[in-house]
Amino acid sequence: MVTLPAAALDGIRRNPHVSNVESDAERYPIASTRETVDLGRMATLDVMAQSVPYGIDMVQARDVWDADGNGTIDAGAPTGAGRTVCIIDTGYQQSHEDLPDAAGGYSQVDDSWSTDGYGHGSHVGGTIAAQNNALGVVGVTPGTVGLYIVKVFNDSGKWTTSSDLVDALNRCVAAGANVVSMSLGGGSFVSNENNAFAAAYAGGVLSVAAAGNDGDTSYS
Amino acid sequence: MRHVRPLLTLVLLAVLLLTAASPALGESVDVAVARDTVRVWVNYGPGRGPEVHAALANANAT
Repeated sequence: MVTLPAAALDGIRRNPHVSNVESDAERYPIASTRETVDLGRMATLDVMAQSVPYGIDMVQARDVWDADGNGTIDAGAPTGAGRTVCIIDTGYQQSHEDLPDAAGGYSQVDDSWSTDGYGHGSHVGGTIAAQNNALGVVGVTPGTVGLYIVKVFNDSGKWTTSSDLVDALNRCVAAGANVVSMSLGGGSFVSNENNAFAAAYAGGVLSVAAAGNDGDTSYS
Repeated sequence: MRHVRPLLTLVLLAVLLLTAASPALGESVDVAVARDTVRVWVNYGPGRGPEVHAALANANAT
């Protein structure tokens, strides 16, 4: 990845030793709007009750670890324990009372992967791993999967690039991730990015990216 | 009054033109500089790294 004077681009493209030149495309959090807390609704919530987001049962997550429906994790049920999900996003609010502690992380944008001034990454973290307790919500795994965090978006949710996304992926792989979660997207196909994710997949790492929230067929 | 109306029209036209042009005038120097550079992936064939790195250095790539 290089930054070139625009006037030099054609010359590099014509260099006989160069096989391909492609732009470093932008990648955005999806949804791109700031995660907000509905304070009015929050005031009416029973603070000693846990709610189950509709998506958790849509994917039948509780049928896996709470098959008897008694609200507790079944003995011996698969819960994601011993596996690691890497979240590439806006960071992770490690201090949140309903989120399990991530094992580690890295920030490309500031000095703290364990804070999240935008909220998007923590929202994703809750969907993946919010604990099964009397607080907030429960995740697809009930707080049992290992987490590694790579912060690529800043506290304003500002876009990143395909090259930084590949760097984030490499950090996830190096941290032993089994799954990479990316609630993000961008319109341009980048072959280098595609190759990096294909290589990770060949190495046993499943990458999951957002398909967009617009409900249409456009690529995101 | 006959001379005032064309003058008023000219003033209004000038205001309209200046207003339309103002966003471009407000662009920062940093943005202008950023547009003079491009961030790209550069791939090269096996064993061609030294030649390509030299070409990139000659092109003031960073």
